[in-house]
Amino acid sequence: MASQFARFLHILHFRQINRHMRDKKYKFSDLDLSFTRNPITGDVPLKTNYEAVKRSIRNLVMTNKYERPFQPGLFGGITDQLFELAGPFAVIETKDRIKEVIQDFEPRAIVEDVRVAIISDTHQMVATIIFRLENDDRIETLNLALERLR
Amino acid sequence: MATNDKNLELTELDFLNIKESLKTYLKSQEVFKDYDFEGSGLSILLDVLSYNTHYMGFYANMVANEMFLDSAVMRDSVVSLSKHLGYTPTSKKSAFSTINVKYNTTYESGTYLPAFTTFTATGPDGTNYTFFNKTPVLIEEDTNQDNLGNGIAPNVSIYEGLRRTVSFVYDSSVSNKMFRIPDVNVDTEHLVINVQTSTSDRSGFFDTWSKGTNFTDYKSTDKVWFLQESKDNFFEVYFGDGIVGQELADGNVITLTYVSSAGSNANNIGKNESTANRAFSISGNAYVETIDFSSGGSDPEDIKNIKYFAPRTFQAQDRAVTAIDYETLVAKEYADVETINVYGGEEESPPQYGKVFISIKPESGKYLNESAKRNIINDIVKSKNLVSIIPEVIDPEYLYLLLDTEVLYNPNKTLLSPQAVAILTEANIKSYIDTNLEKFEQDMVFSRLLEKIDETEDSILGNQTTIRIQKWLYPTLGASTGYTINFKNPIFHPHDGHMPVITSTNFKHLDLNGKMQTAFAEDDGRGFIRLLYFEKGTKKILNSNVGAVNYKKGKITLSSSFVPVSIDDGSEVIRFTAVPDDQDVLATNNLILTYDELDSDSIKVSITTKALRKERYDNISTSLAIGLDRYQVPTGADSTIIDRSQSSSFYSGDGSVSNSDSGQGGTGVVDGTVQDPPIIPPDEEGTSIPPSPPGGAGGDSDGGGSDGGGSDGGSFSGGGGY
Repeated sequence: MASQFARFLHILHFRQINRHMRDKKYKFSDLDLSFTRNPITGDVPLKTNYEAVKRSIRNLVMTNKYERPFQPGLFGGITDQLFELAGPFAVIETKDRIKEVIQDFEPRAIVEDVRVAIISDTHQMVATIIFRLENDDRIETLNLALERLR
Repeated sequence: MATNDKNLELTELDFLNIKESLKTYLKSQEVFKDYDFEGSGLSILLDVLSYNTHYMGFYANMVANEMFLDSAVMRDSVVSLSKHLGYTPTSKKSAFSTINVKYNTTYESGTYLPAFTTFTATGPDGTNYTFFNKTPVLIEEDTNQDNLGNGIAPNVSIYEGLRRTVSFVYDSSVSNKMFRIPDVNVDTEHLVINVQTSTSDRSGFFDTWSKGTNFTDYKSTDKVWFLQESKDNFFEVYFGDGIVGQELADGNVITLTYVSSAGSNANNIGKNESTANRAFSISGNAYVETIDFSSGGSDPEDIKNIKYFAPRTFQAQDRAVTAIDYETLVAKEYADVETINVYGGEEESPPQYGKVFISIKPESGKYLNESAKRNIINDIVKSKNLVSIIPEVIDPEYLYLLLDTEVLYNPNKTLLSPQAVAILTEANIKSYIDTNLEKFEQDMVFSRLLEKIDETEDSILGNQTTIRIQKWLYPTLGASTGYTINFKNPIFHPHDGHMPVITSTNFKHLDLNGKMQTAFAEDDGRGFIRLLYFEKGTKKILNSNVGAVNYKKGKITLSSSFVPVSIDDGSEVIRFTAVPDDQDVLATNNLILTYDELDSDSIKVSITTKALRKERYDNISTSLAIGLDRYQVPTGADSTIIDRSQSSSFYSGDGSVSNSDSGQGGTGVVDGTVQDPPIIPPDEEGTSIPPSPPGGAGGDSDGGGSDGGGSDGGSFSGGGGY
């Protein structure tokens, strides 16, 4: 398994190498888990800098407890809140959890604010995470809309 | 592409280490930089990869474990591996018992107790169990008064279990020609197999099919079947292939008649039987008298046992030649064994050449009953041991330890009270004995015991422990017969004329005038056992010579003049207690070291606090100058110097100092009215009399330096300790 993965990275690396050499300003770069194919190069796309951090925050916040093997403490647990009473307590709990998981596992992001709103008409909870990167003044906003599927 | 100098660590099996290895590997490239952040997509991918690698590694490890007998943990694996060694695990075993069936009707000659008559009994757990006899027994005329002239079926061997039958039709087109016994409680020892030609043709049903054990012994026409354990604790039967053993034909009907057993639950039935309360019952006009209570029932062999016995059985090659062969064979076939020891007769004293002694402590009690002993010899050992060797099953002998411990502890180091420390210490000593002794050849190493006591609690600074050994004599009351009591450990005897080191509990004995006295036995320090009694607080001699003691061998021989009439405490036992020569007590041959759980004095623990000890030292006026190990008794009548290392009473909490002899010899301090018995050289070795030490026989000069009692001749009170 390990050798297959290495070969995969090897190929990927070759395909990305030109682009990478062309633009070395990426501080952060990550694999896009959507695995959509670049229509021109056929490469697996990269997420870079703010986009990479955004995707990381999103992954963390949406992770459920025990979802990551052998890392029981790594979870956002936001989906659990969808099954709680839609009131102020759920909002506070959600805010705390988001802040906590980012603080613990995403050292690149400094959370400025987290806003959570419950939209009862559509049975949705919308979380807005306002953050910036360390040593960077640019403020970024990540919106997550949580909706019950059943 | 950047050059990858890093190799993946392939030796890691732990999830986090595997992930770390992959991260290290990814450091060699620059396309994906976020592998170190847990939220990144790459980290999730690494998780999946690491988990898969970890899972496969664990799986491979478990598979490898299950491939070897030493490391396998699943029963099916262990059973399968033991097949390679030709080993079949033991099934449940039915308890068996020996009984007399007594009829209330007049004896008629030529009548039999039919085979498979059922007997019912209630077990110790309150459950009803069914027993049966395997063979018919001829009914005889009872000559006992209680049933005179009526019929009796004597010495009937009965086995616990329910007989069941299952049938199969043989089909040669089936690849797996195994016939599973559909009951995990089967006792395969009683399995009977019949084969008839077809469902409509009963011919061949009464042919004898025997259990095959050795493949090399059978021809193509031999009617044998083989047994093996299959999955999930079931047993299965298979037949020959036409080369080794007769092959079955299509349509043959195989009938398995087996016994479904309750195993060890049915042991000990009839142990407490009385005439008013019979253990077994039989339908009809008869009743059952138990000769031997039920024993030998056991549960299926567990994994630990299979792992232990499979290689050893292979080593023994189904023969009993060496001692370990006997142990393996008996322990495998007779499961009610807690501990077993086998030794040759040449190790006995005196040697008995040509004999092998098998000593067994059963799980169900202290001793095997006679029918179990017969079974072991006749059914298990005789067919496999050397022709000229006579095997004999002997009872284990129990040597009881009496421990007296004085624990020095610092109350500032614990929140526990002295009583709690004493209780903990006592429990720890018992735990040590339970764990390390109570088996054959498990010696008591004194230093280990002391270490164990010290480890009981952090506040314990040290301990002083004395040990005595005790053997129990079950005399035939009122009978003039000799007895031998063998401690199998040397008894303390520094010189002839030393004070008594052997004493017994009280019993009733006639004196020379025919008057009944409460007597006890004691050695005289010169190799003889004498009987004493108390009269007005004074020891008197009842009989100065009722036997001899060989101190070196630890053996007491009581002559026919030792005739106890009754025992004071109502028990059947006279306890002989001795001081061992060596504090390490050995468990040789059939000896087992243990302690009497019912005797509260068998393990005595007293506590001395550091403060008390200091106070004791403070009271010592003159002895500090010569060191703390020796001091002068402050309140004693004489000026005896007691060596701390040899005085059991030095640390006693009550502040008193007593003569250490009472602690060791167990006889108490008496006045000087007992006269020494006449000195007659004993005929056993090890009891020869050296010249008397100057100052009288009782003047013990060792250990004490100067003995103030040196001039008091045979007095008991002059002793300066050992």
